[in-house]
Amino acid sequence: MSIIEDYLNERGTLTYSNVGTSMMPLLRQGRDLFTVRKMGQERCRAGDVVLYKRPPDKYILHRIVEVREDGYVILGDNCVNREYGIRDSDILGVMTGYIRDGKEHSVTEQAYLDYTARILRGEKSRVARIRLKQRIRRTLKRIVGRA
Amino acid sequence: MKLSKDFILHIADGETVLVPTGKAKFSGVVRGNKTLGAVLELLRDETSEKKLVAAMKARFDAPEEIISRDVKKALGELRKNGAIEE
Repeated sequence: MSIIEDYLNERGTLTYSNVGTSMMPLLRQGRDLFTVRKMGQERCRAGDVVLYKRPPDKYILHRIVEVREDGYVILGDNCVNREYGIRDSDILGVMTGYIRDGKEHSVTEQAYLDYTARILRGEKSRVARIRLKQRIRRTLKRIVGRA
Repeated sequence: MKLSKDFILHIADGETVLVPTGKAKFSGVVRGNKTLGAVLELLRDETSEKKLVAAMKARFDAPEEIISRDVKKALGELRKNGAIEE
């Protein structure tokens, strides 16, 4: 078991930082923190941001976009590829809040609930926008590389 | 010396949490009480061990030897985790 799992088991909550841009604009690498509560027996809901383990030892904090009987479909707020088949047993904790610029925010705040609703509702257009940006970036890189 | 940019400090309800960002080699969480919180807050700006002891002495009502020992201990822990830039 890792330090993260030990810590969650021992204390029930964990405040930590994220790596990467997959949860932008909600969580900015090197600047924001998130707090997760240890997963209990209850099932998660669409919109929940969860910390789960991708074997063998990768920890991911992404959002549940669909709840299925046999698992969850998960997608980072700034990602394009859905992940399927994440089971309850893979989930270590559920995000209860985040700390931005030193200020604590709860996932029960209206502004966060509105943001979550927008994220869930606008998945298709958001993914299309990110893909377009990635394509433009790749093309520009190719052009700059040729010059 | 100063608190490394690769760590994020959060102080709430009297509890101090120091969390590494992706750039830090350390991957745990440093938790502490008011004393560690005060040391870390002072480390947000460039300082020295001597200045830290003096600032802590002004803040806490305790003998200098004890403050000096606590500051040394806290700095030792933070250095071990790579949380201090010299």
